[in-house]
Amino acid sequence: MKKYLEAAITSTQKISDKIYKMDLSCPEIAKSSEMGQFLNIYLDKGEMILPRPISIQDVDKDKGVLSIMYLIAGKGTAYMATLPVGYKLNIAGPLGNGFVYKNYKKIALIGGGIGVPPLYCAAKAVLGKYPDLDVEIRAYIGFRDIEFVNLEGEFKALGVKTLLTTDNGSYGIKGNALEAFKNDDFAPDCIYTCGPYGMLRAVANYAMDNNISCQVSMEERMGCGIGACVGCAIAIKKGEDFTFKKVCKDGPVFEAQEVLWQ
Amino acid sequence: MMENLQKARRNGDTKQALLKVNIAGVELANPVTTASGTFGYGREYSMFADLNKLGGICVKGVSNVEWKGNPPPRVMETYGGMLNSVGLQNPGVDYFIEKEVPFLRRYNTKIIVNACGHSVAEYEAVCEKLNEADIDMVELNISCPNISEGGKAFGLDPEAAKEVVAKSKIKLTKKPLMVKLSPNVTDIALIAKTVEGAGADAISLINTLLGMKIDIYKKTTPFKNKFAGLSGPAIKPVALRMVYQVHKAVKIPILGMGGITTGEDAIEFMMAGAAAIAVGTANFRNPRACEQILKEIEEFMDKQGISDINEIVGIV
Ligand SMILES: Cc1cc2nc3c(=O)[nH]c(=O)nc-3n(C[C@H](O)[C@H](O)[C@H](O)COP(=O)(O)OP(=O)(O)OC[C@H]3O[C@@H](n4cnc5c(N)ncnc54)[C@H](O)[C@@H]3O)c2cc1C
Ligand SMILES: Cc1cc2nc3c(=O)[nH]c(=O)nc-3n(C[C@H](O)[C@H](O)[C@H](O)COP(=O)(O)O)c2cc1C
Ligand code: FES
Repeated sequence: MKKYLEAAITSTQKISDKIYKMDLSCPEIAKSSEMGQFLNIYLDKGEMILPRPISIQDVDKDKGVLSIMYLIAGKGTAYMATLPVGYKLNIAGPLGNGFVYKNYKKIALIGGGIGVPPLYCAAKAVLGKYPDLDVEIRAYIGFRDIEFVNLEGEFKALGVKTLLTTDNGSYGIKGNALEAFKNDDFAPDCIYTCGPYGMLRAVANYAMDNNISCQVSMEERMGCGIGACVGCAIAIKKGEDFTFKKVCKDGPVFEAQEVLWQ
Repeated sequence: MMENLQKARRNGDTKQALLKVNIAGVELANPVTTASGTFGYGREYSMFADLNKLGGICVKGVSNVEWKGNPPPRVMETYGGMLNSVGLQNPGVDYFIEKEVPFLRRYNTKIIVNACGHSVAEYEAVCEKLNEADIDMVELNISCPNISEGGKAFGLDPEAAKEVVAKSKIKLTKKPLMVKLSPNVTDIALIAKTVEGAGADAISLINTLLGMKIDIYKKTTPFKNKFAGLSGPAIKPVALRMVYQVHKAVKIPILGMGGITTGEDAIEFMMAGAAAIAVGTANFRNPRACEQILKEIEEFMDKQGISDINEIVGIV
């Protein structure tokens, strides 16, 4: 059930100059959150009127805590980074449809930049929910530069084999996440992917060409974030034609072959 | 007025009785409604807010057939406002009547349907269907581009506005017709008088102000249509001025909107002449904005000793 509530910041962490983490106490939203869903963060700044959509990076249902990890991309996220522990923010969630697990034995996570956090959430959820199924998950995570690296240690702590790339080779393997996946000897039943559009398109095309099931988490500018304004349109195939669906409500996760790639 | 107050107190529903407003024969339990396009068909907000507390819900524009809408991006934040270029994506009037009206009817609120078209015939077609539907009022959105006349919006040209209103009115024998004006004109009073003369039962305003965004790195306009509609607190003073001017020009009731975010904003619009108000972009910032605004209106009335909200309409 989606809720709009006040959530107190219980901890903040600076991961790098560009990336921050925030924990929010909100048991009612935490308890129903699923992997790949997101939150609307409402900023109480007069001139910033739209909520910021941020993926759930981690959930502790027992403690009722939700974690988000965000990149300083503009004035809203810069403002978020100044908020102290104890500060109360309004949030809505859990929003959208996240990743779906369908008895996969092997899952590849292919993530780019700030698209990595929801993949961490997915890895943890699948491994936590189905400990007896022996699901093998491998993470291929790519970043522009060392400044943007996040969650490497956390993936490894989950026991997920993790290959990390940077575009400029400042850290990890020089290259990108899709190349790292192609060069690895891993044949997954499914790919979960999240990151910049170009990467998603490349991953989706590769998955479709190789008949691998693939779930993509899409991003679009949002108004309401809850499905009411049709602001976050994405073209989805409909026979020979297409229709606009809502990233915030029908997505953000779609099947790769549904999306009308540009 | 005192009589009203006493009667209401006897009935034990002080606040409700005192907040009632009437727009073209449709009685709203309170003056707070939602602005078309910002509240969908009510479903999404029903999870966060109590729709029974709304005087009315004005739904996203509906056309006679499904419209796809514009390609993304469709929305963008601006300082104190936002631009949108949704392009009236909607599933069409038949789907709306079959699937959305029964849902909305479960709530104790009035249903106002924003109707749009690309030609007079399309407006007539949608009005003909809405006339038979279980709804309370039609709000004619004359800001759509008139495709048969080369894309200029009906609402920008008094002659075109007159024709589309008069012809829609003929189809709407059973429902009041409210006409929603575009602010992108030099003389808002002239358009208002024209649509009143053509048979409008009420006027709503303002729709979005035409704006623009440039991506200085790509040297392009991100919105495919180049221009997009500006809404939110940034447009409030303009909207308020126009409501005031229209109130001075016509006799029919006005539904005022444009940037309303607080109860005080709503009171300003009513003092300028709006019989009721609509909340749009503020719903994005707070999914319970309408409830909050209503509460603040009530507080204002209490503090100022206003016993009936209708007292303040057009008081300035
Ligand atoms: C479903 C979804 C999940 C997301 N998850 C994360 C996440 O986990 N971590 C993270 O750092 N970022 C995430 N983003 C991107 C994040 O929403 C934007 O970076 C953020 O809104 C920027 O806000 P700002 O005020 O700092 O930037 P500004 O540029 O000042 O913002 C202005 C407006 O543009 C919007 N906007 C700007 N960039 C984007 C963008 N890339 N996508 C959508 N809207 C944007 C803002 O929401 C705001 O309305 C996600 C986006 C979506 C759609
Ligand atoms: C995303 C969005 C969609 C809108 N869609 C419609 C619409 O379908 N029909 C219409 O008449 N007005 C539409 N509007 C205009 C609003 O109803 C309202 O007139 C305008 O936004 C000013 O009010 P506000 O500043 O409170 O939002 C839309 C506005 C926004 C922001
Ligand atoms: S952002 Fe409003 S419908 Fe998705």
